[in-house]
Amino acid sequence: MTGPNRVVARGRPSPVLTLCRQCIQFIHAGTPRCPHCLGDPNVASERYREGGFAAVEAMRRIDDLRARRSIDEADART
Amino acid sequence: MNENLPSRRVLLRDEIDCVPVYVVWEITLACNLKCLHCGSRAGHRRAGELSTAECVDVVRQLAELGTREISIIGGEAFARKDWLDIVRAIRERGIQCSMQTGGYKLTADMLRAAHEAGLNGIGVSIDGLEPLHDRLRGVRGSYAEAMRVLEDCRRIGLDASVNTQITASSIDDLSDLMRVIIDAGAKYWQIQLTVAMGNAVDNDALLIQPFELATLMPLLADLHAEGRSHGLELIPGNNIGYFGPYEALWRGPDRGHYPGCPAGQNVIGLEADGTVKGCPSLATQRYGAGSVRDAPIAQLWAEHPALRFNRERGVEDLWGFCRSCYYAEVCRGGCTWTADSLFGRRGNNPYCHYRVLELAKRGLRERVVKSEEAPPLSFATGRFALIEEPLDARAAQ
Repeated sequence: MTGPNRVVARGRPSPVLTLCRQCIQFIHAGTPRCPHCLGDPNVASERYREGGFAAVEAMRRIDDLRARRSIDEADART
Repeated sequence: MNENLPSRRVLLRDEIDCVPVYVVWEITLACNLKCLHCGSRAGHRRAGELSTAECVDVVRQLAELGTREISIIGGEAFARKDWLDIVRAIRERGIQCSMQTGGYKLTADMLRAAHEAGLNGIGVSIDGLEPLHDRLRGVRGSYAEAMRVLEDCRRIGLDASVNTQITASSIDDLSDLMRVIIDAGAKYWQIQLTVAMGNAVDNDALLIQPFELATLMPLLADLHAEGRSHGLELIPGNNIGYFGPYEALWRGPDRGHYPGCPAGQNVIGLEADGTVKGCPSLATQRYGAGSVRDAPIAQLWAEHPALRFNRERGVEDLWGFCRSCYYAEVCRGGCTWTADSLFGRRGNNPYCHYRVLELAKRGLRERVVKSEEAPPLSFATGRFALIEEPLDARAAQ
């Protein structure tokens, strides 16, 4: 796979949203009350549990943390 | 790079470093179809299309910038005699290569040669069942040819997907069309709304109205679920969205939510004469950043304002409903092409399911009405007025 020889431009990454575990819609992280269903977004609903959303959310979070760590390490080297 | 990831997938590092991960390259404007919705008004080749040697050098430059997938389009890409040389040049640089095609007169021998040249897959445009497809594509027999190409790909072992533009006439065909696509063996079905550009401005009755997303999106959600149970993945294009009740169904949570338009941040569009844009579909007049003949792509990519507009991710460009939307900072008005083509200005996109539902809560809906024709040029836009009206205003249509 070809990689970039050099970085020629910089951009800001997209802010990351989280899922409301009640209505399975995306919300801003840390929102205490879902603006869509008005429920507590941290309390898992039956749909959330049965849909396997906890597992895929956890995997995504791990991917994100690993990516951010590798970026921090690369930036520290430069 | 994680080799297990799809080449087109944009990673956090790519966003920060503005790596042009995915390039859509119109290698010629010559075309053998006469599509009523064609944004580029394809037909005849452009004056001054790049030579083979220039194309090979473009590939080199893109490889140096970190491009991982190039999709060759037209017009009809295979209308160029050297299209397989370009495919080989792309593959020799380790870049994935796909081709989007109408499939008309794309023979089995040509497909076999493309497969041998390293083409990784093709996307065949099918916009409805036979009568509708042939009418939209302007050539009788084009549907049969597209279906024959899918069958040829299956026999040859070349990955084939289907692209469908959703027009006002095609909504009724979608369920039956999906069954045809499943039977044809395609694994991916990319859906995109027809956008008000070029021929689609001339034929504006083809455009669905924004309020029709209220019925279209639940249908797509049903088709997504049904398709998946038959091994077909429905993929929402960049102008299908945004953040409504089905976002987690087709974009996340494992693949993440809609990240905002990637034009000019992780996508490059190239016209056949070497014009560089942030997305192949954007209006050349406002988004053309110059030619590969005049400056290295890396220089245009780094410096030209026509390519930089998405990189700082502010909400300053947003207006109308999008400006104060809950998702403004993430979504930034969705597809730049869709909004800019309607209004001559990006940042306010009425083709949004979340917006349609929010307006419906207030008893409102939106529709667009043409106020100015598009000039007879490639990637030309007209003007549309945005009408907000009571939800029950059907009599006023």
